[in-house]
Amino acid sequence: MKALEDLKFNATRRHFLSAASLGIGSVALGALLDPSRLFGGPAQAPAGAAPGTTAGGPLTATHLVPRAKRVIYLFQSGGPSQLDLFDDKPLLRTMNGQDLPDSIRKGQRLTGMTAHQKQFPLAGSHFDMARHGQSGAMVSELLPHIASIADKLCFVKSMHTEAINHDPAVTFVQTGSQQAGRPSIGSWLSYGLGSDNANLPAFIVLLSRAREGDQPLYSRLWGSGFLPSQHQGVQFRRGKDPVLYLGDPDGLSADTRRHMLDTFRALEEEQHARVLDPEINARIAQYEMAYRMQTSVPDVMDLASEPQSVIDMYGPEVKTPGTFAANCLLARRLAERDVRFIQLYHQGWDQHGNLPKDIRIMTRSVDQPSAALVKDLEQRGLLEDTLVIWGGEFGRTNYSQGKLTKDNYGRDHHPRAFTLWMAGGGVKAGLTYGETDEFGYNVVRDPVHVHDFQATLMHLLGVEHEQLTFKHQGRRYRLTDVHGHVVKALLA
Amino acid sequence: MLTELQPFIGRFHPLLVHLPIGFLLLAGALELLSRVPRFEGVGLRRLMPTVLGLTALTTLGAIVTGNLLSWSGEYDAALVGRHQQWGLMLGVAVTLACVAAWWRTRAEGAAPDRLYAGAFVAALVLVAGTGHFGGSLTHGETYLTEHMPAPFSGRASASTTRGPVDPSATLVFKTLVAPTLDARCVTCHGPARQAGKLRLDSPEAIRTGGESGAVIVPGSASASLLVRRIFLPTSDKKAMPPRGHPAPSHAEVSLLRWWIDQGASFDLVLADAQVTPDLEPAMADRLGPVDLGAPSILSVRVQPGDPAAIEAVKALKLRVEPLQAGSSLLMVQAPPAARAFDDTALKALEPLSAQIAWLDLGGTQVTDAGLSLLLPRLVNLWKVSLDRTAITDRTLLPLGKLQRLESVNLYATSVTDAGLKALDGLPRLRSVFAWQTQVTPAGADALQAAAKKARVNLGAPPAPITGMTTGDDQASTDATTKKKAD
Repeated sequence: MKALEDLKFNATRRHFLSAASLGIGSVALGALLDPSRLFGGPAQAPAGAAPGTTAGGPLTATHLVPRAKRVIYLFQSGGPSQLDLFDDKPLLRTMNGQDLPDSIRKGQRLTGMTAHQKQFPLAGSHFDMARHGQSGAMVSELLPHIASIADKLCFVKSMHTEAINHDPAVTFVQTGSQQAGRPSIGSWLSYGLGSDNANLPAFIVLLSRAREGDQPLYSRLWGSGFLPSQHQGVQFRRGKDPVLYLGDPDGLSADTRRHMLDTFRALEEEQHARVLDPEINARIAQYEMAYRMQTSVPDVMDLASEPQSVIDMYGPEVKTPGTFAANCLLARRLAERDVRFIQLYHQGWDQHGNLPKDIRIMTRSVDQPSAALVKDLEQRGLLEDTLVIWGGEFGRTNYSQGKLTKDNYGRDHHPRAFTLWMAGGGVKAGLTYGETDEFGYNVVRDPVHVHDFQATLMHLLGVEHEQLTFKHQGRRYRLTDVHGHVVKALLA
Repeated sequence: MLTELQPFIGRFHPLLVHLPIGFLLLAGALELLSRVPRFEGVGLRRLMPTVLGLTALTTLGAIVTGNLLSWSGEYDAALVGRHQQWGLMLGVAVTLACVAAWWRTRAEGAAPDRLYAGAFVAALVLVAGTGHFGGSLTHGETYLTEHMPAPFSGRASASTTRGPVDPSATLVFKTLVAPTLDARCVTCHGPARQAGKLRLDSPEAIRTGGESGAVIVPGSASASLLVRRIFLPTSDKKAMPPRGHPAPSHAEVSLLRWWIDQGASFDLVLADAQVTPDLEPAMADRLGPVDLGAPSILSVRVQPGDPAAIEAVKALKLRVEPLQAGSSLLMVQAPPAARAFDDTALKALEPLSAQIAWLDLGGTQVTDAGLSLLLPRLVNLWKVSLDRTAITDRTLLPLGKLQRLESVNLYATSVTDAGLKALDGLPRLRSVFAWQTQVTPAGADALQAAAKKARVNLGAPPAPITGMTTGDDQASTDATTKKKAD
């Protein structure tokens, strides 16, 4: 009860100027704060207080012309091995089994999984790589479909991060901080830019995995942190009910549901007037969204209108709900409906051992659907203003974790260099940016820090990353904290 | 002997010319002082023939050395000719003044006084003129007026003309390179003077080169004389600009090198050039802050749209947003909730026709009838999406007149090759989406041939790859992409 009592004091203080009548004084103060209101100009909706269907975020206009209106982030959870997929290092094959020189490692800290190793035998990739397309981008034989669209992609080979373990690394990529509690990228965009489709959340999350027993994911990765909670990512589940408890129970008519929601809303608004907790507005917004999603979600999920040729593009797994392929097709359907941020997580890339076998399972599950998604977006003209991102939270080491044998090796986590690719949405197609040393260990040209990547992503959506902030606990926060530079070279 | 000494002696001209100027001004000062009561009777007048005699002698020296210098042929003939004429007249005037001064000391009278006064004033005027022409020869004709305050010079100052930069209309040479050459090189290598038989004041002259041959090697700044001379040590006598002359800044040189490395084309526009981030500060110096990533449509200035009209469009469930903060151009988009939007509602867009730059009516009920009325008015249309609508070729006709158009989405409509022809003349057209239409690969090719930058997308091929292959470079979906083996 103590907490509720405190809320009351909270409310009286806030009421002091805004709700309570203070005559001419409050009018004058109001005019000082917002002159346009003095003579009854249109009031701006207060940030965060967006009950019901209000679409716009606190940015009434983007800072820049948006090159991308929406994002599909194909997050490859676990850390795909850049050395086996994109960053070809022939030296590792010739030096296969030799120790990683200290001059290259330069005291890089290791995870608890390889720190005890007496030797760090360099492991050359077992997979062939070749240049593809007119751009000559290097892609592994494991990804023939992605290789076939190399000229549409923008590869960044010089990504680097600060974290070395999964949880902080994924959290870092998603929220700009290694420690939990900050809003995810999708939440920032939902908050800043609002929703373009009132009937669906602005931030939707789809999960898949091709191997069991990999690193777990948790809903805080798509949480809204300190932002109003209607901006959190909404996870669509596999199977019959993509969003749980969305349907009305048997025997409950739509009218009854509507009536119930109206009454509920009146009660909540009354409570809000008393305690002014912004989470009450968030709750109303979520109830209303759920109501609209009762019709919009079945429409998204219904693949009956998809031509067979399009379904075939995504590969055989597309018919199995919950696969990466099915999620890619769903992502395209959500993008068509103007969902701002569609985040896929695909688990299974954490290959500490048995990499040559396991990576095939992963590439088989992502290759065709990833390429199909890009091509399908393109033929609809959606790639013009949709940014597709494919990448994980860090890279993998150039030396083998555990024993290096003739036909087996594993790779540990490696934060100093990894590769991701992007397509569409204002990035330069057919570009390979950045370079690692011949051991594939350190970035030697054009490094791109995770914060730089985030700043660039925001830039593509028309948002100056330094200007989208939220005040919390007495300080203004932003996605890139106090870091980040837009990587202009990546922009088309 | 004389021919060998000629350039050596000739180059004393710039030194020598200052002597007659000094003597003549001294004579003027003495003449004024001689009229001040305090100096009356001191005999200043008797000094005049001597001072003017020295003036005449040094003028003669200047004329001789000046003639020797002009034989080098490095200077603009017309300007040299005028300088010579005035110089000779100055010589005559000074000599006359000298004679008159001497005459005046011998015999008082009106005649010598009048001759003296006339010749003296003429000499003063002539020395100013001759000096100015000489200065123009050495420093360039614009030297004096270059930093003249705007109200006097009759041209608007650079800062006021700086508007938003349109990279597709900004010539790299003219805006980023030529100003450097004009400021640092053209004085000696221009219309007034052609040191080393080289002029750098016009594209033709730059292509021609000078005594030492071509000055630019397109594509290679490091092989170009124009750049190599700048990087010679200042102690080298071939270093440019010569010691004592202001050198171009690092930013100016980097732009020059970059332009040559890009192929040294005089028609290259900024939008087609490869700009690396390190060049941006140098460009900002010349053009003001320029965001090369920003679409060129932003350089279009329009009046803000009528707020009431914007509200009316919003009431139809369309999204209306400025292209970016501070821009009057608008994005108008039909979200999924506005699928019922039709021709009658289209009329609401008419008051905003100058402002609409990005129009997305994909999946709505609009038809040819409504669009053929609206589209011709959208002069600033930049991107348009009419996919999944009932439009036919008729709608494409007005699109062909919209010069700013870059992207046209027509997928899942009944447009044909014939309709696509209307887009032939669009200079900025980049992408056309024509999947699930009657457009054939031949029609797509025809458009791509006519509008060079355009790419027509006819959809992804049905089954790209069956099994895992290695090093197999699959041709991609676009009709443009050429097959290229690894």
